[in-house]
Amino acid sequence: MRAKMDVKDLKEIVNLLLTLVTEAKFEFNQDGMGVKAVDPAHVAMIVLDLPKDGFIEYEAEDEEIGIDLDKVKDILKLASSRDVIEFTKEGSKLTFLIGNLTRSMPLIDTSAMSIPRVPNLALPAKVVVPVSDFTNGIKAAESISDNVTLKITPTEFEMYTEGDEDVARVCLPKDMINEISCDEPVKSMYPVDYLVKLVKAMDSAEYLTIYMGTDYPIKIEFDIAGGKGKATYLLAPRIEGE
Amino acid sequence: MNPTVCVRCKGRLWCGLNKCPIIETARNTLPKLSLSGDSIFGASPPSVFVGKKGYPYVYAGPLISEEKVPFISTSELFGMSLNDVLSSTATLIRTAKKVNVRKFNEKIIEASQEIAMSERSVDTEIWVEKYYGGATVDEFFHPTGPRIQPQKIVVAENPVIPNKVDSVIEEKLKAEIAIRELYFYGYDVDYLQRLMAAGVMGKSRRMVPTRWSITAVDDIASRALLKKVKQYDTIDAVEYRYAAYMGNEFHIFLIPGSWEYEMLESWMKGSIYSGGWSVGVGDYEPYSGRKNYADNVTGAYYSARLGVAEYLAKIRRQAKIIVYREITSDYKLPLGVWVIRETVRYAMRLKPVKFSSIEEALNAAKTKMHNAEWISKSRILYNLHHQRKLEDYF
Repeated sequence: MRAKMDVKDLKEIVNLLLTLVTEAKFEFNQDGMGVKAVDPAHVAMIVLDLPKDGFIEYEAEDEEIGIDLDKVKDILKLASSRDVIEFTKEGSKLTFLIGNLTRSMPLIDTSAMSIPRVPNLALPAKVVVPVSDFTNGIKAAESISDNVTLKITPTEFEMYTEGDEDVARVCLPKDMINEISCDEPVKSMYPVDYLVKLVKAMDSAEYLTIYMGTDYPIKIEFDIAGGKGKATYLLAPRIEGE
Repeated sequence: MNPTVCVRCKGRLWCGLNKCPIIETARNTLPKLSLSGDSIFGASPPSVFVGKKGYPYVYAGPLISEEKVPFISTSELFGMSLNDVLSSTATLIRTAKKVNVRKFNEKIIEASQEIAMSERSVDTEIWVEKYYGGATVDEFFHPTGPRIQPQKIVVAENPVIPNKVDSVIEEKLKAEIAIRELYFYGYDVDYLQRLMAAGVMGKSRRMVPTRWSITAVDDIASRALLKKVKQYDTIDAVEYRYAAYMGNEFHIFLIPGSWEYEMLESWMKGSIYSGGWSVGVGDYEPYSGRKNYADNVTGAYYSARLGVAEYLAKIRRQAKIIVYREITSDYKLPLGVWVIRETVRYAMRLKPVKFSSIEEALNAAKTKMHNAEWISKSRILYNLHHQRKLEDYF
């Protein structure tokens, strides 16, 4: 396997994975690269796909590679965002090339790393919202509570949080949303720390496609690598009451 | 007095009174010390106290003992009986002169700074202007002996200042960066605290009330450790530890998952501040940390957090932490947050009992608790109980 890509794109992929895990198993084939990761608490999952065209140069057979993401992050600190990075698998090593710097690191044994199962969810409601509005809602929630409640109705998308005394609410009516499809109102509560880390790691996305049900996981789809790749993020809800 | 206010305020005078009646009553039970004469000669452990009343005009000065230096670090006090702690702290005479925290024009400040920077005790001579007697107790700092107003103060010996400390001070790093660097270098938190209190660190130098500097150092050191801890894998089983000291009973739970921290307290009937009631309080921080002061638990929150953060950094793992502290009627005097820090550190050195779920751990721990009401108040437990996993939806 040998591939060349923009440093900025690899940085984004690594940062997104690091919100959930410190090691990941990357799958390569002729068509491109994919990676799935679940956090240790099994609350969230991310699935990233970057097709061959998303790379500057790309050649690979069917291969699985275990990578220590913290190490890659350290290597990327040596590069500027405008640089190009090349990486090659040589035996049990992965060698990175940035300009005239070469840096090798051992691969992680993938035999103990399972590829997470992706739940098959039938989520009845969907909205497409600007990342900036979503980020505002999450940041407002973060200062008040550890949970945020999301709600989709036929006419609006709402994010709200209640602390002991404080309340924060972001409300996007239908005409401020790019797309909305919802027959019945749906509502679920999610742990805000996961979403804080997610929005911090996103770099390319301008819009998020959100799928939801009531007391069901949320599915968020967004662009990565400047629109050349796709990401799907799943997060299990917190159930109120009981 | 309203005990739900008192257990949170802990002598901060939220009631509007001039003096805290609870602390005054406690003070009066302390042993009294008389001075040998108009001038005293003895060693400073080394130690410095900076008050906070009237800030920025505060009473400040070094502590001096006419007898053998009782201790250098509060970590040495851990395990002693209440009487032993009180008799060793009561020999510490607290010199106090009113100074402006930003104006280093008084001789007493210079002396305090020299003493604070020293790693070893420093012989000091003081001419007494006024003797106030009594003793002082504080929720943050260890108890001290009588207070005197000095007329003149002479440091009679060269302080021993390690090169590392000297260079960090000379560099004029931001206080937070300087403390982090010295903490990782291995210096005791009590040493760093007195450097901060004496105002020798930071870009804009000023003295910092002892109470604030204790919490600042606990906070800075634990945040620095947690930055590393958050990079580590999570522990793989629930761990439970129990330790008790001076009427403080700690139940510490480590739960697999990304870092979160919560400290809850039950002030049992008969403990200081609680009056005839049992009162519970708590503070929490999510993975990202907290942005404001832990106003319910106060300094103990940060001291306990340092104890668990040191442990997690050592084993290179992260976890969700619940520290539950029961304060029983054996806790009659505020002794300072070192009691919390050292008891938690001690607990973390114990071999844990492991469980496969938090429910099992709580059930086992309940047999040792006086009060299990906090379980329904814990945010970490609420979130764990209500958090679904992705595999619930396969």
